[in-house]
Amino acid sequence: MMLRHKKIYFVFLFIILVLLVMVVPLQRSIDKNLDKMHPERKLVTAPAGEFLGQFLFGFKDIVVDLMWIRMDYYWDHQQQEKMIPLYRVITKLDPRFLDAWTLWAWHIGYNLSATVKDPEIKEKCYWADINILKEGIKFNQDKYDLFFECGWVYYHKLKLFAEAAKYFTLAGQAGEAKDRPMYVPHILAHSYAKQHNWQKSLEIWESVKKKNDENASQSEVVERHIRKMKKHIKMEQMGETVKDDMYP
Amino acid sequence: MKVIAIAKNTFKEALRGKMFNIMLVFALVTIGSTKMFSFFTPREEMKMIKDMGFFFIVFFGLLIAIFLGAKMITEELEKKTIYTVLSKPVHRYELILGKLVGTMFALFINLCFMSIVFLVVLYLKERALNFEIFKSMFLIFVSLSLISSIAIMFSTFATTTISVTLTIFLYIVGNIFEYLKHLASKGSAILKFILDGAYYLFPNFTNFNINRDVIHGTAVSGMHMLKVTAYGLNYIIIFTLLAVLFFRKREV
Repeated sequence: MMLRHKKIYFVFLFIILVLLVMVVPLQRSIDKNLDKMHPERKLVTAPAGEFLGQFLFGFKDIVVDLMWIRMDYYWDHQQQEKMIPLYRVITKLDPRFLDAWTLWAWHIGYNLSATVKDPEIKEKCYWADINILKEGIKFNQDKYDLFFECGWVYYHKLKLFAEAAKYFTLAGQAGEAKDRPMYVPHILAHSYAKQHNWQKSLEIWESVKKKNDENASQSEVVERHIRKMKKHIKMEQMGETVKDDMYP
Repeated sequence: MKVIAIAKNTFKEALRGKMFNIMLVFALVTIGSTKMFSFFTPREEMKMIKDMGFFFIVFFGLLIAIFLGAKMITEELEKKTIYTVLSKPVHRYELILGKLVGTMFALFINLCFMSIVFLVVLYLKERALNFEIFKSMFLIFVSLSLISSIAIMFSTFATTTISVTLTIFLYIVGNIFEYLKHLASKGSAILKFILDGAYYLFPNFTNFNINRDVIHGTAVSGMHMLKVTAYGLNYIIIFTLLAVLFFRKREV
């Protein structure tokens, strides 16, 4: 009887050992998958967000939400200076939270820059805006949002249209087509036109026309731009100077 | 058959333990939370509702898994009801298995109820169903089953208080192992060996958390789900075997 008990005991221990050995390749394989899904996992160093996140024992999303609610309070009570450190922590904890990146960048590039008069400091604000967005892009390659925002700051604030076109192109390629709004290719066409690259702009408008035939009001706008681009190409071919208020 | 009979009894006991009250609280909180964040933009609001929903599902699920599992054997011993069961031709492994199956079934019913409320709330808000949520729910179920197997194992040799404390401790440790492993890579060879070993020895609960991926629309492959499920089942079997071993040694 005693021997039988001992036998069972060792069989159990053997099974447990085998199962534990099986865990090693399984965990390694899961780690590989998770590294692909969460590039931020490589940043598990104090005081990075992953470090903080680990110490919230799987409840970090709710902590992020509570901080986001606090952020709204600061915004309502004109305490913007308290929002910046919170944005930093929130984006560290949840780098996939798109609204946090876009609103943080917008506060710097649009609100803070509006309060300063010195053009040099204003430009610094725009670059800070761009840097925030580029940091966010690293973690959100599959969403159009941050590429678009980045392109927009280049387009609207810095007037660097070649860079803007680069980011609008990336926005047009990120994620699934159904998730991207129609204005993404439109603004890309405009940024080429701003560089007086009429041919490229025409190509984009024509591809938009192909995709959106059913939308009457939009196709009217697209048609107008196609006519305009064709006119500008013709004028350039004839050696005439193109005069356009929209694309000076 | 005996296992099923014990499992049925365990489930009934869970119901007597006011498990459905927790579900009702969840339902009310989830429904209430849909109105709480209407001052945010629609995208932020949806994120908040989903975060809240997952938080309450995991939190209440944890409470049920830990407390139900931790009192399993101890309470039977204190009430002396275990003697009635063991005096019948019931093996100790059948008792442990029955308790585990019963707890898992109670967790399953609880998760189903919470998921339905959650999905209805999301449908009313978005007018669309995101089936990716089921993936998340499934892994929550696996992780809660694992936690209850840990709690049952502790309850075979410790009091309810100690079992609860040890289970919570293991859950916490299982959530910070990734960080400890990273820390070990910068330390001495001995520390690296110890922490690397511990990383593979203890269950890593971060594996089961795909809630953030579901909320942000990150694709979770079927293969990943399969691997994590296998990982969870592996540990459930380990802790159940340990529970049987400890319970066999216990004088009852």
